[in-house]
Amino acid sequence: MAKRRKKRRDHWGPFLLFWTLLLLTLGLVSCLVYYRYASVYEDTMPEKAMDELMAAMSEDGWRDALLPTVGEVGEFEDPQQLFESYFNGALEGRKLSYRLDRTKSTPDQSIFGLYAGPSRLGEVRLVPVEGSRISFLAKKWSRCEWRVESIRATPLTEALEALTVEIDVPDGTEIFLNGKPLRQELIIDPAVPLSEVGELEARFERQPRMVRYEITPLYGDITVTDAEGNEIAPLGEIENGRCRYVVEPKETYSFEIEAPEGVVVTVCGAELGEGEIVSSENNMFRHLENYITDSWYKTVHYAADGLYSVPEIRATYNGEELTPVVGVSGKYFFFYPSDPDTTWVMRSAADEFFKSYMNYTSYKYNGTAMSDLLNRTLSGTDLYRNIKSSRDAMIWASATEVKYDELKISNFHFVRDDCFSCSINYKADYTATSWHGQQSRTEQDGYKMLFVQRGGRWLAASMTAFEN
Amino acid sequence: MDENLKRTDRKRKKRRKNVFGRVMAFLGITLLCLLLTVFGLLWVAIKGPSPTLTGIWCNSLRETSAIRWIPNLYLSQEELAPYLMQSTEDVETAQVNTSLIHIAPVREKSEDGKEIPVVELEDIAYGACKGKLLTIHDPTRVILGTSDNFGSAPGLQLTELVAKYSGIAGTNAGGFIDDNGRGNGGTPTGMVLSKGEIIYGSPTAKYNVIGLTGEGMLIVGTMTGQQALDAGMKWGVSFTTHDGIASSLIINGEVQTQNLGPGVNPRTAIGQTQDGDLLLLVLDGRSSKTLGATLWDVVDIMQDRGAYNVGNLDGGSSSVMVYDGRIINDCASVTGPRRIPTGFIVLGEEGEANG
Repeated sequence: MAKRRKKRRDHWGPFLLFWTLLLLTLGLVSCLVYYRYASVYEDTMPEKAMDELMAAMSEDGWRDALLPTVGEVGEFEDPQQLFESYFNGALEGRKLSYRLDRTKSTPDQSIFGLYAGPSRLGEVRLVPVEGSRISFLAKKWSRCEWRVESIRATPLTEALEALTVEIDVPDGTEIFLNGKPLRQELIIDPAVPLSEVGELEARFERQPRMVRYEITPLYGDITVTDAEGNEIAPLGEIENGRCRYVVEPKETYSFEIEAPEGVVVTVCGAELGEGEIVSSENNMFRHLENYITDSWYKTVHYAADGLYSVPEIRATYNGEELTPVVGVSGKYFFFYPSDPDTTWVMRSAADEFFKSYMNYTSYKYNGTAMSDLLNRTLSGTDLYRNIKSSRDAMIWASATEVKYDELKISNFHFVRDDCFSCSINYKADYTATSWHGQQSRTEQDGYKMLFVQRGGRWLAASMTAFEN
Repeated sequence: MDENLKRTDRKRKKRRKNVFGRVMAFLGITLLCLLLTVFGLLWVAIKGPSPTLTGIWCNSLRETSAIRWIPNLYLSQEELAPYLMQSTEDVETAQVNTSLIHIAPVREKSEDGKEIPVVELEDIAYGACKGKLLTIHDPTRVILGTSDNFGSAPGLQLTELVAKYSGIAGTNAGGFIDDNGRGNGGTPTGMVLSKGEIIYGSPTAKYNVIGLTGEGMLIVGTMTGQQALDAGMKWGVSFTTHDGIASSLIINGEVQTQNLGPGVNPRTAIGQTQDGDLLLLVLDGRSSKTLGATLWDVVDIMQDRGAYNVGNLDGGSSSVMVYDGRIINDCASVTGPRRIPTGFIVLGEEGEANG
């Protein structure tokens, strides 16, 4: 018995060895499995597919891949040009890199942003490769290989800062943005008040207005030009993504008006007053005081300039609308309205004088015609002297022919019983012939005339061109 | 007879010794094999075929004060450098634009008539991350709680810190001196700002600051103590990782990518939406339920909740959240909740608003 007990073997040593080997084997297997997992993990990282893509693509390759996917922008910009400029600008001195877009990525897709420095140029969408030949373990670990599904450019609306452009222009002015005309539909305010309107214009029935275009969003450089192609500079810096352009009205308007006292003159509905009176004279004709000593009327001169609106000039006297006589330089002349009952008296006198005047100016120098004209002119007046001295001016021509068209004698007004005024307008075609040639000219003339009664006859006392 | 008894006794003693020796040998060999296995697994993780895993492991370990030396066992400093993030603690950051935050009046009822609690607690499950999120609709209810006598007394556990201020909830806040994981939580790192005064740190030194103004505006970024005061900060801490990564995660809606690495660890963060709601987030880790979260995960979760400014607070085994008097997250510290010098405390209705 004792011998058998002695022979009982002690299994502790082999057990410890077995246990050690088991643990070491388990440890080794764990390390091997983890090593395998790490290999699969790295091989199935979407970043690996991205690394391969980055290695395969050059900068030009990326540009070509991204350009066709650039979305649309407004009618005034070329999206591809904008993107190309953005792409090139972002790449200056930088290299392309990628970054996982964790907000968009899911287990079924990995989205990577393509960057040049901080600028996001596009995104690459990776999806799992179906039927991928990865190991059984990898499938167990829910790992997969990835392939590129799409490459898209970053929408310009996200990549670039949007700019809103406001352009104020006078109504009806053609304006161009990046070479393309602005459409009426882009007007957001058809009645933008002008910033600097004078006191008179502020009283106009219809204020001068600009129209405001708003174009948004814009992403690139802006060029605003007028119809002549002149570039318009922006008004100040870009502020809060807005940039303003103002095209001031190029043309401003002015007026000059001469009207007798008591005549109500309006410009664009605004009655002219003290502010617009340039002068107020006691006579309407030069040297009238030599022939008439009382009852003459005052002539009021109005003028204004720097107006943005075309002046619409009207005048009334005791409610009656007056017809203006417009001088060659555009000056408006108003006269008291003709009295229909006595107009014939004045018209007859004026007609006779002007007939004589035409007779005098239509023929070659002729002493009879001249004395006839002087007979109808008040002696001692400037007019009388001018007619007399005109003989020297006419003597050079052996013959002068004058054709009077559009003759109009109007605005008859009795200043007093023995004095009336009227206006004469005509177009005269002169053809003068002399020994050294022929000269022709056409004149559009207008005169204010004053007739004075002397010895029962109406004599012309003054003949003042409207332009004087 | 005596001789026999003595012999039996000797045999018994010898057998007892023998059993003890065998148990010790068994345990020793088992432990040695386990250590070898762990060493082998770490070797595969750090020097294995996956640089991605190397990055994750190295950053995760480097963020953990007690075992941050492990990567250096396998890799030289030069080999390690490419996997680690560059220090950003001195990098200038944008200033939080408080004009972009509009603290909305506290709404007691929603549009459909339901009562809205001022503080809402939410479970977070984002990918493999798990944790808790507190949304505080009245940001002036949040203050910074501090332990007493920095440097000379140990810190307080968060439950104690919340109770000290009669708060209803809280999270850990700034970092503290914890060499090799043996700190007592009584000495903060960086700066601590309380009631508008710097109570720890210097007004001239630069910190990676996370703090609140008297109006409840969250301010994050790199600034001096004086700049923090000038910005109106009333409560604040600073936090920088061991490798010098700054704490700002989002500033004015811009993600601070330079501060986001691949390391996976428990996390604590504070954020604020443009409506002024404060978000206190704690993500668990280092457990079988979840390994932890990267700072990218923190940013994703915060952005998903509308955060416009976000700061990273002390994480790892310090990450803890208290609500209603108890710890509600799975604290990663094996020795129980750690003692800490600072915590963001959510005051109750009766609490003094913002101090």
